[in-house]
Amino acid sequence: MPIDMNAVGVFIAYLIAIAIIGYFGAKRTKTIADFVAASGQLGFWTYVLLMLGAVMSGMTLIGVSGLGFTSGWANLWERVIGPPFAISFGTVLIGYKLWTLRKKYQVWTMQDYFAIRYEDPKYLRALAGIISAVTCFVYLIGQYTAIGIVSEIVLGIPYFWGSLIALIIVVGYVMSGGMFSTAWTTFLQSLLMVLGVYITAPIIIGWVGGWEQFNELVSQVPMLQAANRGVEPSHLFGPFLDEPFAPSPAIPLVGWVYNLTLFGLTVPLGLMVGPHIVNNVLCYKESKYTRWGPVIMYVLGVILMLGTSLSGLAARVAWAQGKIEIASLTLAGGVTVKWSDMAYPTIAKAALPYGLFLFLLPCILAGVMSTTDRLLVTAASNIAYDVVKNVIKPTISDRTIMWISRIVVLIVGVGSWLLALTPQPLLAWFIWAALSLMVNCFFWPIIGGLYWKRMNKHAARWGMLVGFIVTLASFAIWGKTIMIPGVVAMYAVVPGFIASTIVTIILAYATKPHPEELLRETLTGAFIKAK
Amino acid sequence: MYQLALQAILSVQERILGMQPHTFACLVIPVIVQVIILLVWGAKWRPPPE
Repeated sequence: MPIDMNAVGVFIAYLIAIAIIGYFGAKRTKTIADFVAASGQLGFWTYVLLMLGAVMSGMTLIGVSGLGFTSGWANLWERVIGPPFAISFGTVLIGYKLWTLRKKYQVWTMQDYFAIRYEDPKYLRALAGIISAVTCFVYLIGQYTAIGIVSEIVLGIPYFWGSLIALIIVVGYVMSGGMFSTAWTTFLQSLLMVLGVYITAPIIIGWVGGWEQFNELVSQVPMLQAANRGVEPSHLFGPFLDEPFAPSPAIPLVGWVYNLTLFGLTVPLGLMVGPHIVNNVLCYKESKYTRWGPVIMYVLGVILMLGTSLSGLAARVAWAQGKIEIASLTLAGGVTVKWSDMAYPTIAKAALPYGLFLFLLPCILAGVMSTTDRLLVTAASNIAYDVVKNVIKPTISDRTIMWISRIVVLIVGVGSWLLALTPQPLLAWFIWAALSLMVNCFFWPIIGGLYWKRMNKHAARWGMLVGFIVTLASFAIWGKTIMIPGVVAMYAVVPGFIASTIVTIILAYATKPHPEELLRETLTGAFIKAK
Repeated sequence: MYQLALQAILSVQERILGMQPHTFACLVIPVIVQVIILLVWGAKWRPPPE
């Protein structure tokens, strides 16, 4: 594919804008609290858009639309609801209480909270920090995959070079400006993403006939793909595209059990307790942001996710009609599959006027970069601030810690990029694997810690460790899907969740809870608002 | 109320905005319920203790 010089121009202009904002963020960053959590100084819209940008990522614009292409409405409704639920209800259930604790105890990261709530300033903090860094690393692989896809399909720049350029820019501004650069660049990025999807999705749906006709065509995809593509009507979940889920529990990805375990458990809860999301709720300035912020995030998020998902589904209709071609991807072993993650950029190129297509380019890049930078800051905070400063050498100076953070950003950024050079056919699988680790390691320590008085450090430590090990073992043994043929198919998150839940509950009841005074001071109990 | 709304939508045989009625219900009902919960949260919100 020839390089589109106009698109490259827009790409460069976008990168320059981001670099300038990153530079001002770097000037504002003086202390480790600035680097890790912008010293809790973010305003209302910066916070709302930061949360939106942290979950609406390369996964949204590339992965979610790819999944819309693959499985249609069958689980689309859960994908649409999961991430907005996570950030809005996360702000209510986690942010409201943690904000008070942040003011009281200088809590800047999730691990700071664990250290205070569980009277465990070393082991639990180190364990949570290392697990968090690993999950961010896995999550990052997916983000670089998305950047590579966008640059190849939209710009004509090869996957390798596109992802490398983005790596250099993002790592550069995160190394220099930490959380301030991340939050300010995300403000612009989220705004672009919202505008881009809100404007282009209706045009794309209009291009395949408008809302009603589009939905009727979705029902006809089995017939259309058989007639125009020479594939079986059942190819790629054809019969379930207009259903909310497949009626049989035995079908992977679209069956109702799979839906429940992946989109009902892993996505909403994994995102809600993900370190990069929880750390965001420690960055805003005033408690009143938790009042209307959640509903605004939710509404903006649902429309954004719906627009992206439906653009992917529109690409499926257009492909079945023979109107567009989706690029192929050859996997290890020589198997060639349709690269469904190409759905959004491909249909955008066909359906949008050229000028608008050029405008969409920075929007898609924005989506990818806004999560990438947040994950890099989180991984750096985990290693430098949580492990090195608070566990290994508390006397270390802020200046040294910031340099260690920068080196971690570089190592994590480059390492995850190297692994992203071999892409998966569906980017979403990387993200879901990371979310599985997050829910199985952090759900009980965070939610149990805030709302359950019996939750103690033994339950938190072992629940976290067992969740981590069992989740990794499940993916190693079963891959993505645990199947009992003809009976049930479920996502591989389940054993880890059951194991961490059982271990947590047994240890919470078998060992002593923390003193009542500490529980009162840390706002622990079955309430959101303290009396 | 939730059950009644669900039953009312599922009893519709024709497509709603081109969608299968149960697909439409699965999309719209959870979104409305969650928005209502968040609006109630906002209306009843009070500052956390300092």
